[in-house]
Amino acid sequence: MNKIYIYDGGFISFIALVVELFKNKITPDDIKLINSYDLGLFDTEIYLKVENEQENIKLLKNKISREALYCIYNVFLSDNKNKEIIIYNFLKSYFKYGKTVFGRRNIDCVNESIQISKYVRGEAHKLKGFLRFSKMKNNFYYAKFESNNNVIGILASHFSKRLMSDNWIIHDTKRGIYAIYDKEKVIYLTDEEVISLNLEKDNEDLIEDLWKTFYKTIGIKERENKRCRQNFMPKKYWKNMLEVEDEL
Amino acid sequence: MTIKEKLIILSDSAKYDASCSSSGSTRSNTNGTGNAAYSGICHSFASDGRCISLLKILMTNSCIFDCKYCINRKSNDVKRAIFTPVEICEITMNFYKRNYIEGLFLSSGIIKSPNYTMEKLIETLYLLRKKYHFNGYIHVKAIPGASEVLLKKLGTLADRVSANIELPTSNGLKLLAPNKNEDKVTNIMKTIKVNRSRSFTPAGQSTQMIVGATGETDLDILGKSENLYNNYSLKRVFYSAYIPVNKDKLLPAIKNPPLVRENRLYQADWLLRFYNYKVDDLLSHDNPNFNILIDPKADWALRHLEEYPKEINTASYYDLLKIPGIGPRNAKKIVSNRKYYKLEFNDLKKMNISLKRAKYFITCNGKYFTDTNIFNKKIIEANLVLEDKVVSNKGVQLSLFNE
Ligand code: SF4
Repeated sequence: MNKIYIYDGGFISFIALVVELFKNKITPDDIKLINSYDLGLFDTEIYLKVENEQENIKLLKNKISREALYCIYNVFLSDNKNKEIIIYNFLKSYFKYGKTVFGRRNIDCVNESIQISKYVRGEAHKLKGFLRFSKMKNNFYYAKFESNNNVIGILASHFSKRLMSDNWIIHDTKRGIYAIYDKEKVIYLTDEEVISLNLEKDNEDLIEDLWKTFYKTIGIKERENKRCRQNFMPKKYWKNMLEVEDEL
Repeated sequence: MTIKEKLIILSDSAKYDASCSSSGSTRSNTNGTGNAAYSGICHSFASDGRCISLLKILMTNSCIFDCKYCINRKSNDVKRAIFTPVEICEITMNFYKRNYIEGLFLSSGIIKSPNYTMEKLIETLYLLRKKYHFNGYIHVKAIPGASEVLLKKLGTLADRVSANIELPTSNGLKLLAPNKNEDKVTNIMKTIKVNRSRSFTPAGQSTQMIVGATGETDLDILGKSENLYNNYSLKRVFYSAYIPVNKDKLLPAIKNPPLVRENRLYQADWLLRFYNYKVDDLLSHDNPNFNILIDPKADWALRHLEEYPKEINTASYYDLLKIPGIGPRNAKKIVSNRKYYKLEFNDLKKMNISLKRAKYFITCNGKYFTDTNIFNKKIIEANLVLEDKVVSNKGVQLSLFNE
């Protein structure tokens, strides 16, 4: 039988479970989010009770470097199907080799973790630039986006510094999550919880037209290179970018 | 004139400036709008594949001068426009809050006098910083010939100040821009270098040279760059392939801008800044121009084939950087991993190190990637040129970041 350990929430509950597994010297065959996968014929689900999640988190934080924590957090945000077991194995190597794991990329889970972490940060970095807000009638700036990885938290923390004096909403349309900022703090809501928000666009015609005009003008015809543009700015992002959505 | 008409005129005439970077500053947000991202952020990419990160505009395209290569020169019969400081602030803020841009890149033609123009630029930035509480990135072009006092004021408001040297020799400048002289530009550079601090042009300064408008060689251009990097701690020199916007008997009549040459200069510039090369390593009086077919680093390697193949497991960091296809990032990966195990070709691939070019110049654990018969200048050269063709057909060739 494959022993699959189940966690039921975000990063905290996942990490708390992983630490619990290490504490009890249990080697899982897999770790999965509840209701997120199809149970196979030889799989059995195990719900391990974690008494004190916070204590487990603290334990891990004291044991691993910031770099390692950053890395596994990014992997957790990724769309990789095996991310949980990759993180588990990464930590196992970390406990064996300490900080030097980052130079041991011949170990598969280490190499994968580094690559996935880079991929998540790369997508988040792109979206920090590609996100487009429009002003709503309720005085919030609203931006929607679609991404492979779950980067809304990274984006919200970026914009809570940058646009700290405005109200804004960032909407992950694929996962149905909203990050809502009211000049003080960010809260996260799901599609169902958010129906009461009145998201009607203000009159944005002038500004949007100016931006599209600028965009068209700034390209140099003698140097046109649309392939190069697409390499840097993949088409999958275009539908939420007003300056190029017409070209789709 | 509507705002839109002004924007068209004043961004159209600003677009030839190659600088796009928004990096190098850590300005933070203190109860206003905006902050700087140290590594820079691209917000869009234009139809020419260049990154758009700043609202790049001129305050005005009117000018009392008549530089031959410039579309805004006095003698050109083009529509003129001028933005008021408030208009510039309004567009910047509205664009910034919608996350279209990372900040403002403001340049200007010269109206009335250099000092008057500078004062107007200062007024604009002051308004933007103090009244609109804008803490995003600002790159501003200093006006050559304006007073040092004004330049110092400007520097306290901007993240980056730059002045374009335009041409590598004073003869070229005399010919095409008789009222700019090198001293005016280098004086600006000096002042910025001396005063630079966290609150004075924290992101440093850059400059730009036009490539192909005069008869200067790559050696002239890159030599000038090296000199500027050494003497004024410049962050970047940008190269701009000459695009004929004016007809003038002093200017060359070319059809296509020399983009490949421009790319070679960027590649070589990279080698100066991050790879420990000197201009003398790359070019000489007998060989003053880059090979158009092959990039400067591979070209150097082929001319020094006796130094290769380099053994990945033992070569020093700087020797690793001399391998075509290996840049600082990959060299660091190699160094941090080989401490723990012996690297084979497969290990390099696993770390996402592209071997397309590198494989000809390395051994892993003493092994060459194939029959060592091909370790021969002619064969390697032919293979590299072939690969470049494939790459440029995919349109990625003009990326400046190919290690
Ligand atoms: S001073 Fe500047 S704007 Fe005026 S003509 Fe010369 S390059 Fe153009």
